[in-house]
Amino acid sequence: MENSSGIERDGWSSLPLGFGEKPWLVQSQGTEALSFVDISDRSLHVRTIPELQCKLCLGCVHDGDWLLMVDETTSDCFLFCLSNSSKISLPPLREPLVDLGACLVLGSSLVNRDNAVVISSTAEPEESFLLYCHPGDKEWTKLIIQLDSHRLSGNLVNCAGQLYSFSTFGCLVTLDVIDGAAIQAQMDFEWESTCDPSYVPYLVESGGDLFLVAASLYGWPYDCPLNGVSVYQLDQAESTLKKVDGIGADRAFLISGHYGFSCVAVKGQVQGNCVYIVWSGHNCEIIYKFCLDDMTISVQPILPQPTKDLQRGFWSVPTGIRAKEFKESAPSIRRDIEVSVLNNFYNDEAEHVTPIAPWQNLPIEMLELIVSNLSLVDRLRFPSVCKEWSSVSNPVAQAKVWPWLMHCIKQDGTSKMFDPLRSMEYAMEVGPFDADEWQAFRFSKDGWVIVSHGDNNIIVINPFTEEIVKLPMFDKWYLFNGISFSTVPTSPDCVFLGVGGSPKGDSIRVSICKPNKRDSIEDESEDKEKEPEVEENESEDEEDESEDEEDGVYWREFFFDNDDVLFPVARNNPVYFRQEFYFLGQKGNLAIFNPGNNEWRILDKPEPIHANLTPFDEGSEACYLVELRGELIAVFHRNTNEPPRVLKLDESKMLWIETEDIGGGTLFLDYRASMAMTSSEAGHGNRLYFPRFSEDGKQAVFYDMETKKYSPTFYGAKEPMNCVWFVPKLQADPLMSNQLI
Amino acid sequence: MASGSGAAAAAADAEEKESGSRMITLTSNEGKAFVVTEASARQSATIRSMVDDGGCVDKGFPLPNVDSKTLARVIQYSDEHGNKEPHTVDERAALAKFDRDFIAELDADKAFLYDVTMAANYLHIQGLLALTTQCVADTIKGKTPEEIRTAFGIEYDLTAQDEKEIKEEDTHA
Repeated sequence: MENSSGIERDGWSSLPLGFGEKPWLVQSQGTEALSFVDISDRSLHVRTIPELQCKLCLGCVHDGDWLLMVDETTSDCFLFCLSNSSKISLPPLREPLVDLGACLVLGSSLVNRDNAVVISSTAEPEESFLLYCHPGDKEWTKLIIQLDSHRLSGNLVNCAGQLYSFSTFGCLVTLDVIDGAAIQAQMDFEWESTCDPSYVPYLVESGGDLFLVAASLYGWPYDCPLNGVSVYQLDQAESTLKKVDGIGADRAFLISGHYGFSCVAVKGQVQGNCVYIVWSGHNCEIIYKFCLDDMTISVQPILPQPTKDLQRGFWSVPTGIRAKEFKESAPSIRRDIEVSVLNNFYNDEAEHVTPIAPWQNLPIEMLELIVSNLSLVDRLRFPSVCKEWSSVSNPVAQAKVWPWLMHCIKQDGTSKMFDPLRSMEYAMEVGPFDADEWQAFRFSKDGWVIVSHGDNNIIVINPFTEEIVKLPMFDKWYLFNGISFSTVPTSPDCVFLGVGGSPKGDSIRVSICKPNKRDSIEDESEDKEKEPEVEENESEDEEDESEDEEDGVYWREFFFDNDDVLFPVARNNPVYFRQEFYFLGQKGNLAIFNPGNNEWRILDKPEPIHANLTPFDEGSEACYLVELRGELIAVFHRNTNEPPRVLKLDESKMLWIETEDIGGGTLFLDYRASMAMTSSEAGHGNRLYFPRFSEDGKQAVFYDMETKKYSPTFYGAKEPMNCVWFVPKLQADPLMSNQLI
Repeated sequence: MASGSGAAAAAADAEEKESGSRMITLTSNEGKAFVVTEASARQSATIRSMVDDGGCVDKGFPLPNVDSKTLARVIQYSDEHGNKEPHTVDERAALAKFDRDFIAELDADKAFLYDVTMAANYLHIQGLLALTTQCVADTIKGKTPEEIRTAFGIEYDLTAQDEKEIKEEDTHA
């Protein structure tokens, strides 16, 4: 396809075909050759450019083809234009390279002596600074930025003539460089932050607007996987960073290192309303695509080796295809597009007027025949179509259930249910949620789902019966690594438990709550609970309980120090097993909390399978604990297409036994909630399902323990940012006052 | 085609009956006559039992519930399934393809799908009924009640009370 002899010639002619016309990832690792990755097919093109040999590329800083290059040994620094091989010398860069973040060129043309080059510091140095120079200067001017205890996080973006950066404490900072000296820093922007506490911030300028992309981390901020993004737009008038649902169907954000660019969406190259982030995976460099249309994540390998910070590939986005020419702000563009799509849809409907046939008059035996071909949700909806159809008796009762993936596609609780075994998807509303409130699925068991929403609100809901149990407020809720509950949430004995801990594993925090526990009188017939802080917007279900205040419902916190054995808590759900909560730690050892006497113990055996794990490894490998037929099974999995490790606990010897057969069972794995099915429909046994589906949404992604393969593929599959495995349960849970535990 | 009297004719008749090569006339509610092979007609359990009961094969069978357009389409199906017993893999694949194409056409025209479904039910053509009801089920799959009503042109006739009862039935089933 490509002429390989292109390498022979110097200068622009040796660039890969199509460079300068679409985004490319450019990487210079200080070796002989440069790597170019075509975004449209992720093909790798290696080129040798003499001027750049053995130099590090610190970023693609201007016009899509000006690279900031540095020689690690001599500190020589220059800007290099890939398309015409011109070179502009800069003063030597003597700062430690890890201290250096994004670089910007101020002004339109680099040839102009008045233009300046600015480099932001990262969070590494004690004191934040900007490096500043004019081309031709002998030295960089180091401008110290006073941010109290904050530091710059390495971002630097020029938006409408104003420089912005982001501080380590989550504040937007404006920077002004006047006459190469004066510096102002402002941090009085409000931020309606709704993301996880551990995230990586990126700033992107698009169409004259400033956006903040917060990519949330699965673990501590080292090379652990990402599990979602939230996007905020700066509202200049109100000095607020406001959350936006999307960035516009006409554009995408391309992010790598400290740089983020906005780029025009082009079919086959860059998908609109998506954020792409280059990231280091376990065994290769990967590219995340966060699709904001359907709130999904997908991962693809992009470079054969994972790369370190200083050797990242950077996006070369030609100025011509940067999403700049839009006059309106991005969200309003998106709204327009949505409206026109809806209009089209409406027109289509009008043109194809459905011919009237008396479908409601189908004889009952035919309705029953049709229902026999339907799955659970369809059966559930069937009677609501019309009066005649509602006469079909009990269409739901016979339907078989297994875990489905419930995933949220919009803030307002608009969700989809994906049936992994039948590969069917259904739309449904899960709520009562405020459209402006952030909400996240946290755990699920027995048809109940724990959802946190808004500021520290937490409820347990059965999405089918719309029963709700409210839990008391708890401001540290979001910091839990795992959440679980013991028995049916309507039961008086139900215990909710959240766990967190230090990264090192020397201290553990267990929080428990018994929302239905009352010492005095029997509960009323209502099977839901009420916290003291009543919210008005949920009056529908609880109007009769607004005065029913209880003081006894609160979270109790227990702190345990692990002196002898460290237990770094993993991001997975504890398993309620034999009246105790079992925890699988990141090292692979087990701990137990007894909700009866509130005792915590770390088991000596089974011995940890990752005994030498350090805090730096947090989140690099996911692990899950499930109960299958009275046995505990642990699964360890890195976010790559490697086979997962499946370990069964041999209780007679208290050993983890690696197994390739789980007796025809099926596991559904996710850090929020993992579950096991003893026997499933024929052909689904010995499989591990992940919360992912193929790009067309038609196939669930699973690992087959027999063929030792992922199906259909591991890479490229979509993973919803906000989802949970969940077994549909259509029957209401009666209040069980005499529940036996 | 008329069958004569006498032993020879009876034997021939029996032979024809066995091989299914007799011809049978089906008449639509508009009076239009369709001549089909007996093998094709026997796809319908309704007609099969009438023929076996020694019904009026000569006079043909009037079908007062089926219009000409629908009958023609139903016959297209029963010809394909009645006249060709699939023996090889290829033949079975060809028949499956016929079914797919057949139902795809009907799927695009829900009013006609209804007529064919009702005819298949009335005539007890098991394969065709399975095909059409599966098609109806596929249309329902993944849709909200409102979308289902739109797809089939069904008017919403449930009262709030009905809705409530339906919901209760679901959750306490």
